[in-house]
Amino acid sequence: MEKPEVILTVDNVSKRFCRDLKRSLYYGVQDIASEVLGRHPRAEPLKKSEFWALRNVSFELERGRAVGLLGKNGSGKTTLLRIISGLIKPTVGSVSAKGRIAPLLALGAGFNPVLTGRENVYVNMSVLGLTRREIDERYDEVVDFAEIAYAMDAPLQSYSSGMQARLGFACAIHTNPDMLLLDEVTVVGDMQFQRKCEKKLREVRDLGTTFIVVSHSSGIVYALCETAVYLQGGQVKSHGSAKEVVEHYEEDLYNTAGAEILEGDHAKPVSSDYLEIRSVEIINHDDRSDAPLQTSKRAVVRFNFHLGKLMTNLHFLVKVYRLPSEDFFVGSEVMILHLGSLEDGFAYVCPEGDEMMELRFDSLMLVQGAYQIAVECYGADDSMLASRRSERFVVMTKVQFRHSGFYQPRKWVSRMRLDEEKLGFYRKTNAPDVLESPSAAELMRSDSVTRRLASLRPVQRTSDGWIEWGSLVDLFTVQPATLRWRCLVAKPFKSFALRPLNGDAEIVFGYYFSEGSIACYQVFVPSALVEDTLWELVCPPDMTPEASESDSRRLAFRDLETEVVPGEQVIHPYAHLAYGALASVDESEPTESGSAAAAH
Amino acid sequence: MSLESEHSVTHFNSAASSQGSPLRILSNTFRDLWEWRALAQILAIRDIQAQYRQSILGILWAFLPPLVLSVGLSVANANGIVKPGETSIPLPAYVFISMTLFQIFFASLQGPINGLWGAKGVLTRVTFPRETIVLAEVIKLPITFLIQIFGIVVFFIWFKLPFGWTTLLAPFSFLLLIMLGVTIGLLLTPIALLYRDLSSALGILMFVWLSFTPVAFPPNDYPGFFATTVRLNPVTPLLVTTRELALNQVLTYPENFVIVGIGTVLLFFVGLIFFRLSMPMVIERWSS
Repeated sequence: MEKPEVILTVDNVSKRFCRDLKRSLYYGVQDIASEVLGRHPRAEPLKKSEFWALRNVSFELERGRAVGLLGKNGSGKTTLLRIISGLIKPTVGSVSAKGRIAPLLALGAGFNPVLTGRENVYVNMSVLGLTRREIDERYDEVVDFAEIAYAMDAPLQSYSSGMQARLGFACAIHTNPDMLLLDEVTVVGDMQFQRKCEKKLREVRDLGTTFIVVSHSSGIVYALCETAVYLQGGQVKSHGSAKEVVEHYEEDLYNTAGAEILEGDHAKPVSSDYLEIRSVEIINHDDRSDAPLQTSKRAVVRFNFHLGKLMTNLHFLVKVYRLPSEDFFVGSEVMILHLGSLEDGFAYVCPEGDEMMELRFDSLMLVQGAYQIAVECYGADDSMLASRRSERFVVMTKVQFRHSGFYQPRKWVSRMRLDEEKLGFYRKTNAPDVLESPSAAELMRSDSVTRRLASLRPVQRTSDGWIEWGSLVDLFTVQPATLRWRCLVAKPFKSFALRPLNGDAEIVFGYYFSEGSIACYQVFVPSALVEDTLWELVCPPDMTPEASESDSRRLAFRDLETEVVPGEQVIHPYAHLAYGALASVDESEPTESGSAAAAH
Repeated sequence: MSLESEHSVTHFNSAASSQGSPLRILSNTFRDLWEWRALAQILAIRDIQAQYRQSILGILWAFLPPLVLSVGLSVANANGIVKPGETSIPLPAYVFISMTLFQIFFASLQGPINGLWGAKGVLTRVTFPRETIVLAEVIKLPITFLIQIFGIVVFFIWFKLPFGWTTLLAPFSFLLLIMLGVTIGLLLTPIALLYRDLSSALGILMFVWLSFTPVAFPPNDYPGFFATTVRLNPVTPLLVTTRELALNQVLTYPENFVIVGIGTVLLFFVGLIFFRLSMPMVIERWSS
């Protein structure tokens, strides 16, 4: 198989900046002088007030892929983007890029408030490198996309900021770039237009445009990119799959969060004559006290204390503080839980000596971030006898509920009354009933191992030997013509990223039922489990006419194979029934070209 | 479905001065200018449209400064306040034509600096040949000048000024004058973009320069320091020759004209190279 073309090479790039403006200007004059005289300035040592904004950064990007640049503010992400787009020169190293680059940091570049919208489109797109003829060809598309055809002959200063942003985005995206640089806030306008932008970005992505996404929040990187680069202090801290890099980044992010707050006096333990809390441990689902906790999993607060004498009516208070971090902008810690044993109806009689208490959370509801817990002990007269804080600890969250403020255990139940006549082609289904059917339970036993869908029912294949999938709004259906089984795929997670499936994919089988001769699956595709890879699928048009009306892409799987991974807990309500993996899915399998050749 | 652009599409951004020999830099510059000429044109049109859309007097601004100076000096002369000496043609026409030429020279000097300052927002966000902005400024000059030349024609008719076959040569001399302005502009731009002082100083410089150029007085031999400065002023031979060619007169500074002319062309190429090499440094200081 042919290796994808490398479209961007960043080779050992370093960049020096100066903190002092006056000095920076002076160095600028020096740089100009040495450039003109053809003398290459020495990279080392740094001059006064200079620092390395980037240091020895290298990576490559293949055509049609997306890479995320992650890092805190000031880690060099934007500088790297500027060097990639050719705005500034690296101090050391080189960047080579093939094709037209559209920097989305340049939204509305060159707009003039006095000129009309129409004139500004021409100026802006010319600056981005289009010829007049090309702009003529795309002008209508741009105006349609921006939805401001009525205002194109009015001066730009009469536009609202939203209209200007829409026009800017429309211009930039219609330059048909080979590489798109997205910097932080890229999606603009109202909700409806945002969705339109996301859709457009997805289309552009599917057409094979390369993306470089810069962010200090991992969500967007996770949603758009296959790989990521984590920059810290201008250096590459890690580079690899988006999932690994995001995890690494977040771990660092929360491990350093709130460090300064811990220095305060109130963090010091308090003890009285008879009672001292000796330790507070936070234990995760793996019974480890030195690893991050996981949202939705088990967690335990364990504290050891020493009593100088027997005490009655001893009760405890556990306070959970969230510490400020890069994505949690508060000046100081915030108490988010206040859990008293007395309020819960528990007070204890404690003997003299070393004792231990635990507060257990079956399903941790905290979302990702850095936290600290304070344990306080109270005596009979409600006076505080002792208190102690835990070390700072980190909670990690899977991507499904990343946008939530806390974890909510849940279950989806369909109460729809599906009328067979209304649904036409679709048979009536009723998920909860099916779940209880013995055959479903048997087929989807969680301890079952590798199972081919084909073995359940012989699978109809296309002439190319592929199983075809379809899409209908958020439900995808498959119904091989003769065998009368179908598969519903629910899109569980609204995501930016719909892209060709060109690696291994995993799918989770939610439920199975049988009704007459029809077997039906609902397949959930949690993005966390499939590296954020979602896909749109199309059904043979003769079976679901609706599907052909939606603008979906055809995608087929060569083989369907499920495999249950024991012990893997998936959050989705039905997902515990079975877990499937789809092995070796590859779009560019030789059979396709072979059959295509045969067709000729 | 994607359309191929006419612009070159492979970028290489390296720490090393990878631009190559001066000749290479020049040929790249001219290639870029040719490829991006449409942008320069659009930018020039944009600026002119924006300029006149926010003005009532519009093109009158092209006439006013030389007209005011010419009328003012004539009145002063008639009342014996200033004695500029004998001019070959009536003083108002002399001042008007000379002032127009000087104005265009200075506009071409300031063009690159003003253009680049104005384009700061674009320059720090989009990569494209920076010379395009300079070209746009140069394109704007003759448009303004066409309006002014109309004024000069009026003066020619009004004062029945002489002209002959040498008038046809005047545009070449005139082009050299503009080239000199652009060249000085190119050489000053990078520093002017780093330090605002230079832009401020240019306003004062214009008056000093104007007083050492034969605009309001004839290019006679004056004694002493003043005369030397006037003669060494590179604008003097270009401006005076342009005027004399247009009026079909005997040239005062033929040798100086040749020397300054050749020097201007050579320095122009140096200016282009200097500009191209230094702009990335300037933009870096702007954006970091």
